[in-house]
Amino acid sequence: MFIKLSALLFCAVCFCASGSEPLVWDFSGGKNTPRDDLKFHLRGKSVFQEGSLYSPDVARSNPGGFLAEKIYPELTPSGGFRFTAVFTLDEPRSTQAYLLLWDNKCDFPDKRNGKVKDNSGFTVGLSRSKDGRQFVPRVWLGFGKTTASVAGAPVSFEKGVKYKLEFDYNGSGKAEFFVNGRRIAERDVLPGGALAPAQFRTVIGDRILGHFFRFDGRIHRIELAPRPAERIRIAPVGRKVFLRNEENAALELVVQNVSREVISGLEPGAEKKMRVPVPVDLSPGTHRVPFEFGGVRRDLEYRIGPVEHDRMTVVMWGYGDSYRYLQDSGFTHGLKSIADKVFFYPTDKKRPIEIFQELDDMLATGFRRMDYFNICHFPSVTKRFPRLSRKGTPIVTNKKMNIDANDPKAIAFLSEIAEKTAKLYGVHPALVMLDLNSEIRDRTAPSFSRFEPEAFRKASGFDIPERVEKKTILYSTIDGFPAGRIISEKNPYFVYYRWFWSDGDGWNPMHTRISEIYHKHIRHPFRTYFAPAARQPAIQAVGGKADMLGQWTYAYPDPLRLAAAADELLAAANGRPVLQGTQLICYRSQCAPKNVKVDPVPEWVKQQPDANYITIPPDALVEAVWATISRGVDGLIFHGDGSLYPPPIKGASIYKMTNAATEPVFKKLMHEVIHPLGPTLKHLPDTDRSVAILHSFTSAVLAERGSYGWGGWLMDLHLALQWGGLDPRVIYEEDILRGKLSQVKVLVLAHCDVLTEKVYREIAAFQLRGGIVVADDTTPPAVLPNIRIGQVLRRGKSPLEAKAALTALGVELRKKLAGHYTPATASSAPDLVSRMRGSYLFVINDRRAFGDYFGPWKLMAEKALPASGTVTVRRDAGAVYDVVAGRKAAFRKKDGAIEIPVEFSGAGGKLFLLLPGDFAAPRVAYSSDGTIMADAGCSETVPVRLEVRDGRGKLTDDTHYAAAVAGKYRYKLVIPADASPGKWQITFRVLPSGAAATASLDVPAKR
Amino acid sequence: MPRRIFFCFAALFSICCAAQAVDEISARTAWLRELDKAKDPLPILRKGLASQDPEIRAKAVYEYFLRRGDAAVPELEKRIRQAGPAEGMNLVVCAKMVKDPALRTAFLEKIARETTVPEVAREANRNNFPFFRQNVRLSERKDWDFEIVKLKSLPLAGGDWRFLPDNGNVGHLRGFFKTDFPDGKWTRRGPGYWKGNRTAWYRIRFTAPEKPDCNAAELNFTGVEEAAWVWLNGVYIGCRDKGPSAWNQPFQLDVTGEIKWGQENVMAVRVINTGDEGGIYNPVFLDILK
Repeated sequence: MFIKLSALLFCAVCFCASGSEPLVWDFSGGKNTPRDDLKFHLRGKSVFQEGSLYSPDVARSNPGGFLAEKIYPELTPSGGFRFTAVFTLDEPRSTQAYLLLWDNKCDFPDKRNGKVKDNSGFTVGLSRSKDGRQFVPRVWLGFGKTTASVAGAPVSFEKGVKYKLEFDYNGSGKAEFFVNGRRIAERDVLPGGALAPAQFRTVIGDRILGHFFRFDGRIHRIELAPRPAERIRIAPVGRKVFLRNEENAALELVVQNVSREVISGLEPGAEKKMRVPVPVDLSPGTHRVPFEFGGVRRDLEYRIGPVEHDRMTVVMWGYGDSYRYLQDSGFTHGLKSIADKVFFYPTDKKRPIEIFQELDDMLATGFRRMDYFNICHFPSVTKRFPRLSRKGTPIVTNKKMNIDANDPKAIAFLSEIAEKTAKLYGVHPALVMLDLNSEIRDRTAPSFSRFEPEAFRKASGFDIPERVEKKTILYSTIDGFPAGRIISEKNPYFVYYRWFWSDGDGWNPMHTRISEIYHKHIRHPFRTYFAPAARQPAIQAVGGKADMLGQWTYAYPDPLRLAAAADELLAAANGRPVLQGTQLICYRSQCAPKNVKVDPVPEWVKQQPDANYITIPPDALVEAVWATISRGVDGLIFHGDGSLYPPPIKGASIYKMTNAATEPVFKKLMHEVIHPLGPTLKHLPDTDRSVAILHSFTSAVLAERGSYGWGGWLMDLHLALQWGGLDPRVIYEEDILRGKLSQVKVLVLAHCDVLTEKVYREIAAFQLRGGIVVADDTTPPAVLPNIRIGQVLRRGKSPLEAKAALTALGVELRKKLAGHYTPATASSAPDLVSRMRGSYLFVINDRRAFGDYFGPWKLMAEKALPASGTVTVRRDAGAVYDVVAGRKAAFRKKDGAIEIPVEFSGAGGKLFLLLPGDFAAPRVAYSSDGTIMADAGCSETVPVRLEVRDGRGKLTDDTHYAAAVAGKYRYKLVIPADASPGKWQITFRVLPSGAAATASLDVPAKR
Repeated sequence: MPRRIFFCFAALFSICCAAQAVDEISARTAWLRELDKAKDPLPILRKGLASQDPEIRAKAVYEYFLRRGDAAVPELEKRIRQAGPAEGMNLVVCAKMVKDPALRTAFLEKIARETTVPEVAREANRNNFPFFRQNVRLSERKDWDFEIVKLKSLPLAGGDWRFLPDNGNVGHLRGFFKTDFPDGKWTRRGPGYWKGNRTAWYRIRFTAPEKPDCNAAELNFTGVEEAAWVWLNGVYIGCRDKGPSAWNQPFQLDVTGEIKWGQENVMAVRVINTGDEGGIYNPVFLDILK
């Protein structure tokens, strides 16, 4: 693979150097012209006969040959070239002195007249010895004012035998002749240099004008190829971009000997791989490093990319041609599959080059790539290893199949692709993440090929229960199911489904396997990721050993759904880092159905009447992002670039950009909130929530419940609790069994139709300890809730009516809990949704109305409204800072709590930092060992910005946002070896207060 | 002055409600603790059965039955009429757990007859009804993340309907839904209101088109008053049983697995109405979805 890659790169270098590809007239193969635009025709009595160009015996005054229809510049090489002719000589039919193979020079001897017309182009032929037995290959080269006449050595060409004659000119003054691969002569060419462009049309097999010298034989093939002037070809392979201060940075080269002699131990035609260390202690940009081999010196170009800093990951899941527009908007990563290129084009040479090129560019600009292992989705693969129903037929869901992930052949097949991909591309540090088999479990189902039944029998000791057909089951269809709906952990259906959703369907082990394969080959920081982790029954055994989990959902009808989805994801992840996703697309049918006529018709409908997937409203996007970051997520993920960017930025897509205001809003949010605060948000705790909604795995598999990170009563209940100011979290049954109810004060049970005995006992014990159970009417009869709530259904209600009903539920619940449980925050209006994370207060404006984008259809209130009110926090504080605005915020103390007035002019959120007192003045110092030590002036973890300006006042790549953990920040500043000298300025800015401290250092002129 | 007094009373009332709510939370916990600690739970359970709190009563009913089994039935039967929603539902659960089959059926029928809570009656009837299916439409599937388009909506012809009252509510036991049930003597009658019947059955034979390129098929009932149970080709499809208030709400049932494309299909519908007029009063369609 490596040699083939390097060969391609050679060709790339070679062609780039000379600007053209070999031109081949292959008469034996019927290829009479190398390109359609190079038109030739037979002249005189010359014919194509038996795969060759043949000119019958005619008088010297009669022209023959194969004549170009006009002067083609490319038929005079601009530099070194190799001319090849394959021919067979006949019995001599004439006494002419020359047998010409090629001519566009016409007057081939040097007339010594200095005239360009007589000294341009070149002629190749054989001169006949007087006795006719031997021939001397000759070439006449026109250099504009003079002609060089180059003769090879005499050769006896036997009649009727095919010979190959090659003439190599190195473009500067040396030429060689080869017959059948053997060099017969090496000559100096004077004056040397580039040929003058021919002034005549080219003819093969004769002279262009004057006395004609047809080739007395058959010409089978002519080839005119560029020949670089070097004898050694050097081609860098793989990476050409390195991070500043990267360890062991080296260019990898393939060095090939293209001459006909041994050079520095390298045989002719052989190649070898060499590593050339490159200095990366220089500034970001393009640099050169000298290289020498076999007397050939070359300056190799490479680039240095900026140092990496901690940041919050922002991924665009799926992008079109260029990632640059994503980067401009504030994305940090882009997902595009590399694995599928390895799968579909295993022998393609161009794609690896293109992919490495893009990875290089990304590394140079600070952007990163996420691979997508999507092989499992392709029909050509799924039909090879399908899941089988009880009848033995492939299981087809919506015309698609799912791989039997327990099939050893499937495992081996997929592992091989993972190995190839990781081995080839894993060396590049711009490839930092891998999405494992996204959405694969949507179509999983119990498979009755021999693998799963055998595996289950081995794991459990009994067969798959007889009513099992689908990936969940309704308990009421199971004969003898306990009427009280509290079941033993040994219930065979529970045992089966727990096994199936853990390792049983094979997907978790498959994710683990592929994750491990990639990690095996990748030495730089790399993370594997599985999503959607909550779009399945609620179990923490999800994603196998993927390093991260993800989920995505839509921001309609209520953008706060993203907080609910994030909470489900956090529960599923059980401590693993997570990326929460927002769809940038909206389904037209769910927001602005085509078949519902409205008046007036919004302009976007007139422009895109057929759009089925349209742009998320800007206000909804802002609120969704704030809802997400109010939770402990490690990053954000978005999908639907076609709905964010119009053509021609984004090419043809089924997603349409129908709201031009969304992207600018997104960009502002990324640059003003996510980038500055991201490193700090990742540090903030998110564990002190006392109200928990149980997402029951048992009910998901045996009562077909679950929100699946998507919607329904469970998600609506989460919204109700948010609007009621109860700041809910989600817990899974595993959390309960691990004793996490000790951290909970209010446990909410909804759609918990079936529970296991162990979980029920924990809930009962929780109540006996004083915990409060809130339950809807689906819980088992053994549960006596402290508060019973009714389900609020959306059906028949407009989105604002549903919101009002759910808000009323949340508010009512909060009132009922008063005296037993008081949340940490309270808002003067339910639309101001607040919560604490550590010392940080999030406030999100959810006051909305129907606007003029989706509003006419009344399916989503997409327009944010101004809102103002007060948020009360039950704790003391001596100072409050508006973190985004970067200044102190007003507040007042009351009864051991603080009240903060908030005001929104539209969509958005606010982040306040509560401190015991004002920030002390920040401090920053630069120590002699190159460490910048900074103190933010408080003991909280706060967002900061470090700016480093060089001697010219320009910001360096050391400039970045960061989190000052417990108020302290240290940064190792490595001054580039080529840094501009002078006084360098360091500014350490504390974002919540806006205060800054500065320091400076003197960088000497020579380092 | 009267306005000030009014606001004082309102405030006092709110405090009392809040106090009552606080009491409920604590009272329920207290009762659970009592039950947990008791060596003999029966006295505590009897105390619960007599509680003012309907949720405590509900729990007590269930726990009482767990300890006394079938022997508790006569005592529990006496509670049917007074039982609220939570207690009534737990009575149904207890009835399902009765070991003696005849006693079980009788208990469920008594609950259905005597309860004053419609949801409890429906639950009791459902548990005495030997058919069950959770019908999941394409749009309700959690793994379906695509646009749904209705390709065609084919009316089931108005004239080929057969109708038979079933006030004894035994049709489902006698196989009125079976494909080959002889309905020759049934009244030929299409959609429209009936009067004077509580339960009635409809049957219709229709030919479905050749299989189209689709992802799902649904039966779309545009008007049934008030509850309907549907079979297609002898297979129970599902029901819409939401009480009288749902009389004007259309509903759809997925029949993707049961529809026979290009062949004759037999649909049977049992309709129950608790008011004056009932029945399938608007057309029914076969919707083809993609």
